[in-house]
Amino acid sequence: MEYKTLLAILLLGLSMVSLGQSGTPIGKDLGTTKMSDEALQSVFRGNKSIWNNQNPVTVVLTSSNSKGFELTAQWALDSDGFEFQKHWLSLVFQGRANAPVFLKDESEVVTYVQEHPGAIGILYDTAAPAELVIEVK
Amino acid sequence: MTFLNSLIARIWGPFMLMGLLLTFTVGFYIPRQQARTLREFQLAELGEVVKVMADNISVAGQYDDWSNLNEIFQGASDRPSLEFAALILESGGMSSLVASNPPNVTEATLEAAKDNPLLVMAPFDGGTFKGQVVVMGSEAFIDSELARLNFPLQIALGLVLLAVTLMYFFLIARVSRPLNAVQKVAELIRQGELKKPVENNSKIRELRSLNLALEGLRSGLLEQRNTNMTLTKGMENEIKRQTKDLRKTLDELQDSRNLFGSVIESALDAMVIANGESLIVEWNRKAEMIFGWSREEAIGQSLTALIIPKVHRHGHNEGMAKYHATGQGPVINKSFETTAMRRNGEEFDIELYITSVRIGNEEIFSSFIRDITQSKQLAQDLEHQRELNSEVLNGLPLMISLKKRDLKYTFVNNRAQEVLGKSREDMIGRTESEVFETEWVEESAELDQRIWEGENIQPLEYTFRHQNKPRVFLIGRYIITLGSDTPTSYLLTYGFEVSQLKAAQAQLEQALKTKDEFLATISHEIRTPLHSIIVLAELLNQSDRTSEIPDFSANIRSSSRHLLDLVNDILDFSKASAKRLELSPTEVNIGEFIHGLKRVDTTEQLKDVTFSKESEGCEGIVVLADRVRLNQVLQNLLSNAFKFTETGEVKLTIKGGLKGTDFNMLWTVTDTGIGISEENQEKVLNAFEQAHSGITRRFGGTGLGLGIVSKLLDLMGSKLEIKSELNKGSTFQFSVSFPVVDTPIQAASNDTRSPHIRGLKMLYVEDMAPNQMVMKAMSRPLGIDLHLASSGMEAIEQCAQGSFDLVLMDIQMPEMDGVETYKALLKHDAFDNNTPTYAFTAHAGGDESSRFMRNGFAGVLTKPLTPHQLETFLNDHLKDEQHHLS
Repeated sequence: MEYKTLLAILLLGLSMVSLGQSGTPIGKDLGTTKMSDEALQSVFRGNKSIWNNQNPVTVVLTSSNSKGFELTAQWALDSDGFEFQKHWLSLVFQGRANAPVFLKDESEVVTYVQEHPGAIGILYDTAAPAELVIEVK
Repeated sequence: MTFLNSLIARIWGPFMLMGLLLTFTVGFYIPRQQARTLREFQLAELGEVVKVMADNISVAGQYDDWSNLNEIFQGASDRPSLEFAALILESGGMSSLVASNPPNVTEATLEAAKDNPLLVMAPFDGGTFKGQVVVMGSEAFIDSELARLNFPLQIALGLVLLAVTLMYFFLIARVSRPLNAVQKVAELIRQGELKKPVENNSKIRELRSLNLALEGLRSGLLEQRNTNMTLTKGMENEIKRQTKDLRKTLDELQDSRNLFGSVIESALDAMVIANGESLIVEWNRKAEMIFGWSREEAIGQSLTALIIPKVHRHGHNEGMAKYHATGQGPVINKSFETTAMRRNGEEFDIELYITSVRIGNEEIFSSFIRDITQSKQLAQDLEHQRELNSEVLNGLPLMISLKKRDLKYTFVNNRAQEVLGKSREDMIGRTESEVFETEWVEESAELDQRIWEGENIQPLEYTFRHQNKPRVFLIGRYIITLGSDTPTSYLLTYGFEVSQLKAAQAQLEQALKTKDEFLATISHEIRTPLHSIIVLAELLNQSDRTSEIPDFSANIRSSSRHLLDLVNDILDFSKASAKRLELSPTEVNIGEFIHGLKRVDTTEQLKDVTFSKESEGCEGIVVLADRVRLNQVLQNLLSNAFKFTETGEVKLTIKGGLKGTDFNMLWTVTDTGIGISEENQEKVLNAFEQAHSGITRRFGGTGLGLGIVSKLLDLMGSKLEIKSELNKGSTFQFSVSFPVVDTPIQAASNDTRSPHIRGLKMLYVEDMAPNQMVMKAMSRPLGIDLHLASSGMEAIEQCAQGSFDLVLMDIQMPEMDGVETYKALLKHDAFDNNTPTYAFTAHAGGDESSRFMRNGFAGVLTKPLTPHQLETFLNDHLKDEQHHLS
């Protein structure tokens, strides 16, 4: 495992109280702009497949070897990226969730979210457009 | 094979086989091939599916491109040919089931299906995660596909089988049955049933043609038969007429033959007819029975060879030759006895009558033969029986004679001739008065006459002098009548000698008289001591007799012992007379035995008589003998010697010596007493008899002593010899032998120390209160811890409360006798079966003792029992107990 990744995991693990402290969730046309930390975790664990406004839930993640992916795995599943991938692969294999969309970096995440209603992602290094930011309660 | 060769089988059979082949093809072969192909398709499909899934997972892992996964996985799970799909990840060398679709698949499911050919796996490598996709084909998919594919074929198959079945019934109805009908018509024609025309209503052309041909055949045959019948009828009438005439002639001839045959067949004698060449031409039923040849076998055979014995054949041939030459025969028209031969070769007696008759040019000889074997045998048997009866009557020790109504002798047996002194020839055909000139003849003739007149005369005694001695005969008479049609009566006189019976009667009367005298003596002998006992016992109760008690008690004891000896003598003699007395041999040291013999004075006061013993060759000899009985013999002889000797001496001498393996001893008792006269010497050995009644009055005694001695010596194989002279003395002598015992008797133990009787816990079971009192009195001085039980039940109760060292059991008790009580005790849990239990009884017989011993008693004690005997018994018993314990 790379030094950066280990460092990121260590930092996140020490400071992991809620997502709002390290990353910014963004989304478009989700039927709400405020979500609790637990609700967000549930979405990123694949437990929700459709928003209240009937838009399909599309989880957008950065590539599996990115720092953001590891942080999200740590936050959402309290585990590492391998286990997070394994979790999602199991859900998709059983047809219980739509497969997440993996993008190269956070800028592509911002772009994809802006273009796809129901998409939701997390930004760690990039400033989030205000209209996409989801407030963590 | 009948069905296979039928028309139905030939027509319908190929269709049926095709149906079966079609059934096999459609129902079995094609589905099997289809299943195999479907399985191959399914496996190929599964391989493709799993490969696509693996590839997509690899791409998703390596390039973070999960865009196709949803569609791929969804498409796989929707396939009906798929049972399930599973995702296995490998991490750190371990495989784990991550997900499955449907989700109920577990690792155990995978393990169970690992050998299933429908289980297909494909590896994937997604960079960060690696593993395998597993899919399992559905078994039910193949089946459902097969059912779907084959349903039309199976419908078609069913239709084909239905068509084949309908075809069978069609052929039966339209082909087989009409052909059978034609066959039946043809059969009727063959059997001559031509009147019924052949029906022709078949719808099949060929059958109609066949029926037409049959009808032509039937009508032609019918016409031909009518013509034949007309011709036959004329011929039959002619034959009938001729037959009737012939039958009449034959019937007349047959009647004649039947009459002749019936005469021959029913003849009581064998009838054999032979021609001039001695060939048999007729042989009736009786001949079959006598000779054993059937009629069929005999007819045509040579008479000479068949029934004439070899010894007569030459004579027969000569007689026939002479007859042919001269026309004369010595046996023709004559009845004579000769012998003939049966089929088995047996020669037998016959009576024969031969006649001859000439028929045409031929001479026919008829022989009438009667088997006289049985009648000859009967005559012999009768003679034998008569001789037997005569022998029996002659051999009887009875006088027997028979007279007819004229009172003349017709039979006299040997005994009658012997006793009456006349021969049979002198007596047969004569009356008694013509034969005898004695005084009884007149009375006998009168009695004979009265018997004939029906009077019942009792047998009477007559005395005849026979062999120079007068002998008494009892003569009786009665009438016997033989036969029923023409009865013949005889007067049977019998006589048998009663001289010996008369003598025996006299002896019996004398014996009864002797026995009466003996009973009188016994009565006296018993009453005398009883008188003393009863009177002295009464006097003991008087308080002023205290000083006389010792004398009284001594007298009572003496009288009681005398009474007991008397009873024992009677019992011994009774047993000896009934032959129930048996010897019980034990080892006896003769020297010691002689040493132990003492003078025997039965009288109260010692007389002026000396006693001496001399023995020779007896020291150290040990023999097997009944010590008790030998002692009894000598005690009796010595007792007699002392009894009948007032002064002088009684001397006992014994001379012994080896005789083979036995030791022989001659015992002699000599006294100087009153002696016995010669005529009384034999009498004294008989029971109950002393020399004369005066002896009894003077000396007392039952007279049994020498009788018992005689019986005992008889048992020992010896005999008492008496030499005596009146008023001078007597010598009684006997010689007896006993087997010598090689092993010397072991010295008696010096240990004569009496075991400790005092404190012995003894139960005495006795219903009689006096006996209980006696036992109390005897036990007290000995210090015995005596317990009394008055009945069997009381004894059982006492034994249930505690154990005893010894039990004395009376036998004769009411309700439960001693034997029953002892048996009950043995079954009782509280009773120690090892407790020595003795029968204590007045039954003195050996048989009774044996019975008690068989029932488990340790021994038998006989009443009366004196205190000294009780002490001796207890000492012996306790010594035995000590011996067993040591």
